[in-house]
Amino acid sequence: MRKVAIITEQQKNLLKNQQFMPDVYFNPIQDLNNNWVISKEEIVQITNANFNLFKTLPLVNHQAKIDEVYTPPVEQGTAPFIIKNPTLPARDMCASVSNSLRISNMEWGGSPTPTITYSWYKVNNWDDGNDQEIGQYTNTLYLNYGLAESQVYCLITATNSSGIEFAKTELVNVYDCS
Amino acid sequence: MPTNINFKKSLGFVKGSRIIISTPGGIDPDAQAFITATGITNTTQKNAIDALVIGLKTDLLWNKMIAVYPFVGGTATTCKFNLKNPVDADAAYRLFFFGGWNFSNNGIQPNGTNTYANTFFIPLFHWSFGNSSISAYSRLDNSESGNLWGTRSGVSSTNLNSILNGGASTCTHNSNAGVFIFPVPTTSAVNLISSRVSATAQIQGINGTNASYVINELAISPNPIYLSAINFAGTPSGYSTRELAFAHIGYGLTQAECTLLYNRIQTFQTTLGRQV
Repeated sequence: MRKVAIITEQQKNLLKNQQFMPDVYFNPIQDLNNNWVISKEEIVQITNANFNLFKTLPLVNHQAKIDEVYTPPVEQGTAPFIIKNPTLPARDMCASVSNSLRISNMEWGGSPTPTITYSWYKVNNWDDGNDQEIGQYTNTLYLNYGLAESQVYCLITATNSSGIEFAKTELVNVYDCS
Repeated sequence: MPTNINFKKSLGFVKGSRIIISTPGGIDPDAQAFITATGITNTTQKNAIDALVIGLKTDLLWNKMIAVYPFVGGTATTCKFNLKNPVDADAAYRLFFFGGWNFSNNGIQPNGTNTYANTFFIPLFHWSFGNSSISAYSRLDNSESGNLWGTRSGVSSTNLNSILNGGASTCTHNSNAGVFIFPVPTTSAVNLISSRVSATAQIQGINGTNASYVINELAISPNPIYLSAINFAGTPSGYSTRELAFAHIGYGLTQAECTLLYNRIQTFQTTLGRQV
């Protein structure tokens, strides 16, 4: 509990615009019962001898006034939404360490600005469904040899405080360079 | 012996450019002016101030700052000065401290009962729509609804304030409505920046991670900004208990500039051993 000392109206007027230590001014305020008070921190740090009398005042628990400050309403924001779909540079590309697929042109809306994450997948045609996560998590996929003879795509996730949204690239055929 | 050297031509000096003269190995003149004004003698603190000024200039942030409060030296007298203009005058935005503050080498500690600092900076006179920023570096992780900074007139559309309180952390920047800060801060011991480079969006940065929020700027407060409370039409209110180790008031910063500023502030705090 914060400690304060109760002062009179006359004392309040005396302390107005006065420094209790160099470059720090008293700030008497009114408590819940409209008593004028100064804080314990002001009292214990008094170095101006003119105010030594206040060091003898008893300290009591501070009963703060209920804050009547207007609290602005808060905008709830808008969930992420796609403005421009992601595109890839080619629909076919051969697997080589020097080749990569980089997502471009993608644009998202939403407030606050959505956080974008990327996850690349390899399509497993033979098991009809369970696509395999490649393990690359940026907007660029490096086409290592292991991706040859497969199809790949990127799943993009946009998140903000108002929601989550997804986008998928087109499938790209990756073939063996040899 | 007289020479006929054209000083400007020989240096390739053209209209509009500047010549910065500094002593090799010497302290930056702006940093030195602050050190002289505050009377700081501690070498670590002097070097930290020098590095901060040089860093802000390197990142082209210096001219976007109007008031910079590094809160070094451990006394009200050393903490009151504005690094950008270290003159003991209201017009230089030197701080006036009111109420039961405590001062230490970690910064300035309000008591949450009756403390605030008057910056004397009146936003209406210096800011324009889409061009303003403010920040504070809080060292205290606690739960409260006090304001790190604030001002407004009797009209709600002029509201400028910031409250860090978990999922209810909000910032309002020259508007009658604020935004929830996202991602939700897990601590209130953070550097928080609020900026506008657009009248239709505001940027919130927490420890270098920034987000832009769509929200219109409506009006600019005619009352001075207070630190650690809100200047509610001339009356301080919403007192905070958060120890502050840095604050600034300036022109609009982009998201990239907010990150640069945070990095400089954090380097400054780390040099002083008071980073969070």
